[in-house]
Amino acid sequence: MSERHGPWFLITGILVGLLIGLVYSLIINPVKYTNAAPHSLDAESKNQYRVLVAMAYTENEDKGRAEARLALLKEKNPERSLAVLAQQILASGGSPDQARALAKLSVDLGGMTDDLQIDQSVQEKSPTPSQTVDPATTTESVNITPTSSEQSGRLSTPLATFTPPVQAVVLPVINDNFVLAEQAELCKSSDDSGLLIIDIVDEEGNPVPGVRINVSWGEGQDTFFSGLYPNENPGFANFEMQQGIIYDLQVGESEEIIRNLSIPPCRKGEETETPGGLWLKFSKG
Amino acid sequence: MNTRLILFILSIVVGVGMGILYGWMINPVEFSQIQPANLRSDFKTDYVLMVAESYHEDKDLALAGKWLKSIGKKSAFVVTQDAVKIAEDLGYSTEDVELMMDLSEDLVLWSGEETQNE
Repeated sequence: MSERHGPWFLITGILVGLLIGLVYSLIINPVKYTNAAPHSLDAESKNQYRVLVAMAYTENEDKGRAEARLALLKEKNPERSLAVLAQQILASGGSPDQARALAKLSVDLGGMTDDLQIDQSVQEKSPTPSQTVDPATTTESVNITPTSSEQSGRLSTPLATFTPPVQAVVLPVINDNFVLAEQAELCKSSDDSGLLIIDIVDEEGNPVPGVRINVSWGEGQDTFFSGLYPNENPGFANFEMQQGIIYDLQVGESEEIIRNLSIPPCRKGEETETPGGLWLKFSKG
Repeated sequence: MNTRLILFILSIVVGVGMGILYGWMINPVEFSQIQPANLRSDFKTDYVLMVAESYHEDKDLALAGKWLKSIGKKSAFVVTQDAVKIAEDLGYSTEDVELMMDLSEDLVLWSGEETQNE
């Protein structure tokens, strides 16, 4: 009788032990990480890290060093994260200096050359915002002595393959009403081809940064903000239109929707037509 | 009976071992929720350097102090001093070390009250 029930006490013992072990290792004395790498930081700390990298870059203009620092976050498109964060800071009324620094670094790293791409990528993933972090243990040995672009190359880690963080765009709290003041077709320069250029000013004609702009077409839409181009005025924003698509545009909290925007044909010579751009100026109503 | 008791205790020990293995090695908790204070010392040092570089640009001591507080329980001044020592050991350039020292000097007054209270 006792032999028939023999194995059960062993299984019971293992289960009891397992329970004790789990409680101890997960609750009473969980693993404490004291030698973590930046890619293990929580989402808020990662944002703070990005701001610091951008602010430091403003001071030292050392692109190599900034790249090496951002590489420690192990993201595929760090410039995109910088652009998104710049938008978030502007949208939430944060420091314009920090947003500008982030935008500048993003531009210098090759991001934000196409605002559309940045925002579309965010919107595609934003229904389930989550932070995906490489769970692998950090074993790389990094000697941080960034003194120049060349030296800072040592910061680069060969293990950077993980899903970039996905963050939702926080809608700005801007209740201002902006109305269309001027509109023109841009045909002089091929640089403007396909571009929808937007300038936003207040009652006195001063550029207004951080204004949310919605562009919609068919079943798609995009949201971006004014003031993300350090080399342009703070009220500037642009959007790349596609040939044959009709767009609707809304600026700020305005109820006015500018409809049927598309790439205008520009005539060069008698028969040649080239795609032009559109310029729209909005002022505070 | 004694044998059964010993085996029972042994099975509990094995179970505890398995549980700890799972909790510490296989599926440790909150790996992705690390605070800057838990960064490795060389990363912390670079973090302080970034704060120093930023401070050199904007001269916002309160902001620099806030950032430094996030990487340790010590005062911002002490955190910067520790970083300077590590930076020297790691062979940071003189320019970088000086940036941190400049910040450290400016933090003396700023963190004076805080240091006295400690």
